[in-house]
Amino acid sequence: MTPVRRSWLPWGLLAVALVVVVLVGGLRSGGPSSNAERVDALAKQVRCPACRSQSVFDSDTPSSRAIKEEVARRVEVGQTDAEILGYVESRFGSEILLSPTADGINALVWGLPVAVLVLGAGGLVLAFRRWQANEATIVTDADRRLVAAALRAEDDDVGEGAGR
Amino acid sequence: MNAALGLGGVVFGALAAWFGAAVTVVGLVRHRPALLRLGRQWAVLVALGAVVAFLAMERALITRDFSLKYVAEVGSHATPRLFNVAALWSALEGSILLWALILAGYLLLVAHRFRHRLTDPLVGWALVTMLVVAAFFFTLMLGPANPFERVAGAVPLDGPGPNPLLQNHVLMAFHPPMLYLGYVGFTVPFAFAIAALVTGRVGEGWLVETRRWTLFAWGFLTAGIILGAWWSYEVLGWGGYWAWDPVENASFLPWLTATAFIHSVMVQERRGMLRVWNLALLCATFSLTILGTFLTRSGVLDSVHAFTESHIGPWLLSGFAVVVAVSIGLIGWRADRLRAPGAIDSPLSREAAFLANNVLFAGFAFAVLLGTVFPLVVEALNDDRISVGRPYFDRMAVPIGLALLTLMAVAPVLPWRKASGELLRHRLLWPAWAGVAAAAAGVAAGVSGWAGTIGFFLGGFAGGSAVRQVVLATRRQGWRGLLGRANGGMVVHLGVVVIAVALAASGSFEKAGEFELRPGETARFEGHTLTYRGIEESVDARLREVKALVQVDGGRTFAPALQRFPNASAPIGVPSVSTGVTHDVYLTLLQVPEDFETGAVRIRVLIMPLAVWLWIGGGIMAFGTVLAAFPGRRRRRPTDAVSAPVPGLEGPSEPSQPDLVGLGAMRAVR
Amino acid sequence: MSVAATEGRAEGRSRRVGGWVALAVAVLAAGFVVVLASRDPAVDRVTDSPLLGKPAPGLAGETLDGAAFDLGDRRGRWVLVNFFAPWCVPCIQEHPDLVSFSRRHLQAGDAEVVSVVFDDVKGTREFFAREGGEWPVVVDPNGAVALDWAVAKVPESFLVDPNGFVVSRITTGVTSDGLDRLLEQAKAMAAGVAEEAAP
Repeated sequence: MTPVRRSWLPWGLLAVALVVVVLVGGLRSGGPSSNAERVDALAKQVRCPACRSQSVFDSDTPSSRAIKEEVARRVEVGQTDAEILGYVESRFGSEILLSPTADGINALVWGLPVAVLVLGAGGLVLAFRRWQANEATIVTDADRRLVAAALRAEDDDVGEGAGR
Repeated sequence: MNAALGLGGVVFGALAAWFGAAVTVVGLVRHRPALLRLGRQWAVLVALGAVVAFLAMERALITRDFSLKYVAEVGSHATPRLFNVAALWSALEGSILLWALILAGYLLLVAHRFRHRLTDPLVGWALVTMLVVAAFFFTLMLGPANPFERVAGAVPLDGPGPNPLLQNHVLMAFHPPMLYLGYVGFTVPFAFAIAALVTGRVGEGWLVETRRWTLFAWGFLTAGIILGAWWSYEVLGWGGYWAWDPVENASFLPWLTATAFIHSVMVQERRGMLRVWNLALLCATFSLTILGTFLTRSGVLDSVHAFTESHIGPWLLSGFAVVVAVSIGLIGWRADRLRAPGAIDSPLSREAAFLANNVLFAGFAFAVLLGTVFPLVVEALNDDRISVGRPYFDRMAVPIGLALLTLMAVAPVLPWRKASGELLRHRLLWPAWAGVAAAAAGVAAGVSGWAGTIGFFLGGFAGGSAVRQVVLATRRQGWRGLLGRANGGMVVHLGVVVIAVALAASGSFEKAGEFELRPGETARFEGHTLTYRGIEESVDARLREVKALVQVDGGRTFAPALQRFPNASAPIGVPSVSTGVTHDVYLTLLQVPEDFETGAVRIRVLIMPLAVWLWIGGGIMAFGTVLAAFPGRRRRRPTDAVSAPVPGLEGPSEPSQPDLVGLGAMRAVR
Repeated sequence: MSVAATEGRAEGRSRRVGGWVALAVAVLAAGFVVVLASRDPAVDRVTDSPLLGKPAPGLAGETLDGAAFDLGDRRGRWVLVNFFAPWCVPCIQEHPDLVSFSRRHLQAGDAEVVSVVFDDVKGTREFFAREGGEWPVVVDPNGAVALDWAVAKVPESFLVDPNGFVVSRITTGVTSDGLDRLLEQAKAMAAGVAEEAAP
């Protein structure tokens, strides 16, 4: 095998192993399967009215229990997630939903962070392009002498650049 | 007596701080070194005032002096001594007092550490900044947050005691002081940053000086956050450790920017780049600590920590506005000096990795801040009321967390300036296999979902990279290979990886169940048997506690309980946790029957996978921070990185020799 | 162009960009501070409810005495619906005020009190026997009524007008004088609306 091939082989094996493992793990959960899991998932979306920053799933106040029972009843009856959450919202107000819906101004809370990160990534790419274009560095003799002195002064430079 | 003493201490401290700041400014502006040399004295006076006030308050709490309004609100005869001592920081006014005390302590340390250089303008302006901040907090105590206010009317005979939730566990006493040691600690590098901007000496000297201060502040903040999460889990009983509650976010935000900062400064030290980033991150960290205090104390956001509304909101908000304005102004004013002489050569370099790191952390902080204040913004614009809760933050945190893990995996092996693909392929092979192994182990154990599986892979990968660095370093230098910034940092990364893997596991296979059991009945859940043995009731002056004895797997008996305090309207649940290596069995008592002998209890069981590793990871991070504080093997030498002079800039402000405050020059000057 | 001139140009450009960025950040920060400064404390915001101004949700069930109760039967009078639990300390504290409010308005014949309890019926019976309170106490064992009325925690009270509409929600403990004032205000508003509606 040529040296180039040899250096890629272990990585190729690794990629295959990784894909297999990730597929097995990733495809394993298909979303909530049983009714009980659906109730739990919905309960995690509803805020406990009597507590602070806890979901109905986490807390056990009387109001949370009542909401959980109502949600369970509606799941049995066959209502959709949207219908159930809509009912809870109509009773308690939109504050009761822990995850803001994506309509109107609420879309900002979902969209802005994504926009910021995309802009940041874009900025990075642009900056790298600009820096690579500017790369003309002129090496002078004084620079060479400085480097030589430094190399001599180093005891055991492993050259990893990771020591500090 | 206590009130007079305490108030006297506060007034004394406030006067010392304001006068000290004014005198030092005069000394700096008029070039009078004699005035600057008083810096240490001012620090001593401020510290004296703070200590006297603190001791007066502690004395009032311990002797249950209910003539003080604060003691009447949080003290009680029924509370044990230790909790009364810790009650000092259980409510607003006392916590401002604690802040002032810790700030005075840091001020004293700084004045002592730099006592031979008090006439250096950099140190002078830093002390001025710290004195002004101290003056602000002392003034708060003279105005809206006076802890020594007297009770109006008759002196009550007893008090309600601190919030019941704070009396549950002794370790709760340490959570606020630890957090404050972190928050307040960031005042020191911030003060030096302001000093550097004001004097125009924006080279690297101030960074090198404050590296250890920043590291310790960061370490304390990390420990405080992890302690808070642990308390939330072990004591609060809702079955979780992080709810993205506004106050939790208030502590997390400065942690994010501070973490970005401690990484990014390495680029400035090495190559003089990213100076604007570093200054912005540092000022953001300090501003966020003030903003966090505002969000916690003003009552605008409903939260676990929300105390009775106080008038401190406008003051803190104004303080925040001033800090932001000053930071933006100074950075804008000195912008020309902050231009970097060099450039990042290649995307595959450590500098580039740190820059990407900055972008990710800044984005993360932005998302968390936005989510926290968004309900207020929507209310201001629409009059609509919405909530932004855990589902939102989890959704944002997962992709960013995975990206950060990727950086953690690759960056430690990246050299400075430029790397080749071949170099990376060679160095990253074993860590990558470690990642695959971790992912396989996780999937075998039951992890499901894309985020969980990929999280395990990246965690193993990053852990492998960190271990590789530590192994190489110890091979080269023996046990000393564990010390120093780079190696200690790798140990901290290991701690982060452990936490990340535990988070990935809990996200994907946490299980919950509820059971009604009569005495003697057994329930089976996820491979465990739970037998309810009976009720144990205990009543004392402080509270009434009803415990349900549950035997887990035929072994130890655990006792989740419901506590009722005389002044609370609802009982407080106390969980009981059976800790294990692979998972915790978490029990809470939901309902007690009317008839203790024959009635059925309702118990909730949660299986929390890898929960104990969160705390172990936290411990590893703390250990790594201590290791990182040791000096590395090499000391600075003349050829070490100092920023090249900015072309086209002349004048005495940029000295031709390395910054006088740098460590290397210190030896020469001394 | 000479190197120095190019660099001078670059310096000038970066200075302007820096200035704009600083200005943008400053404007954002200022807006942020303004939003925060104009907010009321969270505690004050709780008394709003989607039920206000709408027909009251159903309230039917058995009272402590076993009698049937239905809120719909009470049209024509103001009803104060009070959610209660005997272990709730503020509920216990507000009880004497409810008693005096109830007595006064039973005499006047314009308003009455109804309590709803969903927990610890035995304790409630003992409590009412001990402390008085001669109004219907509806038992709501599953919390269905509390859910319909979107009760977050006890104590919570609602004022229902004679036409069956929810007029007010009180999430703190009540006082006798406060209730009187609330009733007067509600009556005045209802009278004002009636005047406007009249031809």
